[in-house]
Amino acid sequence: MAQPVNESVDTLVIYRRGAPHPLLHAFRWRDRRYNINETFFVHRERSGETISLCYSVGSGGDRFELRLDTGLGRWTLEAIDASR
Amino acid sequence: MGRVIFHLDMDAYFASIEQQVDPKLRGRPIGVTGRPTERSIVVAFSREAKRFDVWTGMPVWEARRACRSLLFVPGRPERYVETTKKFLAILKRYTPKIEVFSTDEVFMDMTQEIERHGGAVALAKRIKARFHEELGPCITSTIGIARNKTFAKLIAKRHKPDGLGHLTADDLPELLRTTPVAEVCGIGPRIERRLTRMGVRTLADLGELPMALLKSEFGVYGVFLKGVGIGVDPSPVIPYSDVPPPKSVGHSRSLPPQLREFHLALHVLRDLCDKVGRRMRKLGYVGRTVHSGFRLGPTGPYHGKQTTLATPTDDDERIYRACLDILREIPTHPEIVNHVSVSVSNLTPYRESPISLFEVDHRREALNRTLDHIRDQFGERSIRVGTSLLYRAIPRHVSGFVLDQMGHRDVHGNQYAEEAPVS
Repeated sequence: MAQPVNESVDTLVIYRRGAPHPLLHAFRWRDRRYNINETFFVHRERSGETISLCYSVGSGGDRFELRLDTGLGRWTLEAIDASR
Repeated sequence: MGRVIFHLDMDAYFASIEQQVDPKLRGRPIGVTGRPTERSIVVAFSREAKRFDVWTGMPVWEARRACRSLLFVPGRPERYVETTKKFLAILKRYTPKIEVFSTDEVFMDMTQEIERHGGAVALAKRIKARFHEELGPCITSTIGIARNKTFAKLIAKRHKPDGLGHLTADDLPELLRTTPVAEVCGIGPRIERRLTRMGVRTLADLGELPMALLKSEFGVYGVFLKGVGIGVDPSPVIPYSDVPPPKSVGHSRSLPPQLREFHLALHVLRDLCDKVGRRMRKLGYVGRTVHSGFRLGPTGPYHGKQTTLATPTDDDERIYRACLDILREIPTHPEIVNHVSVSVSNLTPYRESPISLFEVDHRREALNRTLDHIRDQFGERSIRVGTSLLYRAIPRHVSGFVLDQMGHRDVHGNQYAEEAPVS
């Protein structure tokens, strides 16, 4: 079961031509770097004019849920599922 | 050459998406629910769960009993909407003739496309491969290929999950001979019973009945039955961009136990009227006939009436007052209701409606425009009618998301949103 976190994080993102969404390569959370091994799912959510991209990614055996506020360009680590 | 129709059916759709999101769920029996309480229902089961005695719409407590290892996953409608948009975008690369039959089923007319893709089967395989690559390996589909919609759907059903079925002209006679009538979409249990009394069990039996007899028994529907009996269904694939304007706009809600007292149900009804008004303004329609009603139990009788307003409206407050007038006229006055609904029909485009001469109507219109603008910018729940805060907000149920451009229509062309119970 994913545990909520809801903290801002720094990210390393690749904007590849033709890709449907930015590719999340790594993020830094609480002074630790997490390299993304696999992107499981990405979807858009809309609330009013705000469009967010929601990522479910894997790193080191754990699963992370991150959200990109495309208007502000801000990334948030929303939840961690460390039970894999 | 006849038509080439594809029926594409996503497999265990919501559950497959959740398994794509979370690898921990893959290969396990899961059920997607509203809220995972005992009173909720399961709206989708994974392939692994379907090996047990489960069915869509089953209460959580019953599903748990049928499969002890079942994992319950709260539904995330935003994911499902986005995935549907994604797969429709993929399909549009192959043909513009896509009819959205439901959230997870489409028909496509591929008659003009198959030649440049190496044939129908090759094209279907290509689509499945594209889905695998762009949606993820867990989100699979089954494609049925036939000369018409009815049989493309029939063949798809027989090849689920993650399958591909192609009905050729040579295969048709055997299929008609061996297929029970009830297996066809559009023939329900009641029609099946009537046909059985006429000595009809298979499609071939149906095809042998004279058209005149079927028409006298079933009216216009008899023409469809005769066609199905001989493997024919001329109904066209209607691209979802060509869908005719709605005949009505409505909302309904099945109520959780804590909201079933009549006075609380009225607050929910007010919220539904707000949503109806909002959608009508978004679609650009006003309407004159308001229908409202309630149900006393999950399978209880429905009590509803309608009223026609003197002037058309898209204002939720007027719609709600019309609902109250309607409810006063219904002779049954329950203390507990299970389900409430409202819909507005007799629609005309807003730009064709007469302008009111009354200042109060102009102020109301300006208020609605402002509210719509706020919601467009900050989200649907950013501002609400005050009475909706008097009850704990019911989370958006998994099935209540089908709106938007796709909309959800019943067979009469009414645009409708059903929001099933969450607990």
